[in-house]
Amino acid sequence: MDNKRYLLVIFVSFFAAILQTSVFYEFFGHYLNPDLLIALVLGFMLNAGYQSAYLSAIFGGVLLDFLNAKTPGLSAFIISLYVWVYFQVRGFYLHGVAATAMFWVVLIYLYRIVISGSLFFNVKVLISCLLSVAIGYTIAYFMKRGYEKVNL
Amino acid sequence: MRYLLISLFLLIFGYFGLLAPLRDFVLTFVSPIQFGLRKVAINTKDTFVFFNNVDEVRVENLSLLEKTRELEEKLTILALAEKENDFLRDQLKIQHQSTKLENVTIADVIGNPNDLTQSTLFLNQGLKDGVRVGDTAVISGAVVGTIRNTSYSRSSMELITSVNSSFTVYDLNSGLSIEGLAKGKHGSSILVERILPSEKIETGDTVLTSGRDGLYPQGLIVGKITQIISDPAQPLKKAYVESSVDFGKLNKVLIVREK
Repeated sequence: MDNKRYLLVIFVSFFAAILQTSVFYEFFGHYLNPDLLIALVLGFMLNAGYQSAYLSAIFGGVLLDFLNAKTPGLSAFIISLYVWVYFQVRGFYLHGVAATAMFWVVLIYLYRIVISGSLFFNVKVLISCLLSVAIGYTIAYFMKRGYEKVNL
Repeated sequence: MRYLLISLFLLIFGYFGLLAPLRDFVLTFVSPIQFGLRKVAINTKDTFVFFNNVDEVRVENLSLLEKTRELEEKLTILALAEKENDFLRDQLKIQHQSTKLENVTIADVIGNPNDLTQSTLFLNQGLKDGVRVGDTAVISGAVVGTIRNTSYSRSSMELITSVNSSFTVYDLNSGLSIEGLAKGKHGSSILVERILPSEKIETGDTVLTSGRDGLYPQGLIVGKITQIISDPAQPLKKAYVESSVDFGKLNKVLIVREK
């Protein structure tokens, strides 16, 4: 991966973290706010490969923790762990879009529990997780279209 | 695996506070972008809401015009009372006491997405602006909360409706003699406890901070009493107070810095 692409991934991840905590938070509200950064990481994983996904997770995650006044590195570690777990299990258990999507919905919900520090069940948060995965797949789709255009 | 280890090291560094200088540096540049984008989002949302509710806005405008006329009448009466008050002060040789708030700073507000109890908010003012832990946030004379954490360019504020919030209040309509202990109850509701059964309070009474706890200055508006719980089996009364502040639509607050 060349340096330009590295920088682009980092910039987009920063932008996603800022959007998640400002515009998206304002439009979607407290519980429905989708995890844009995880959606982006999912998009990178499905298309651009593990390096982009890890970079996005680490840089975006650290900024997200800075913005949310959480222990710096917590989001970065959890999302990187998710990326690692995903690449470990995808060949064995995750066959098809539905299984992968459900796997990510569960992971995002667990992430919300860890970050908020309380065990809870909230339908709105569940919808937010589904929304995040949908955004992730949309990003992956447009990324794929972009790659196809570049290759043409 | 290499990236996972890097993120683990970052977490360890972060846990021991080694990333704090980096956080302060990054937030100095990122905070204005974040708060600016939020303002754009609010304006866009407000524009949509305005066009969706033009009829309601018209009715509201007419009602506000009526209220303005009423207030103008009251202002005239107050101006006359003020003149009379000045004359009486002059006769009694009482010095004016300044009630102006000094040491205040305006801060933009943004929600804390990770706080599921919605009892904390972030402010775009921090140590560099002189904001310290324990400072009070107010809006239109009403108390909003207290500063709990500060970093170089940001701070977090705990709302008065937080369950961790506890402060002394008094009933304005009955005087400073009627005091109670206010505790946050989520949303915009506050429960005032430890009111003696003999003390006369009514729904609609205004509740102010008494300042005796040293947490908030005296005389800040907390809200209005909406419900009084008087159980004969209980030695003390309770009352629910609804804050006059809409915490969900809060955009700016004044931070009253401790001298």
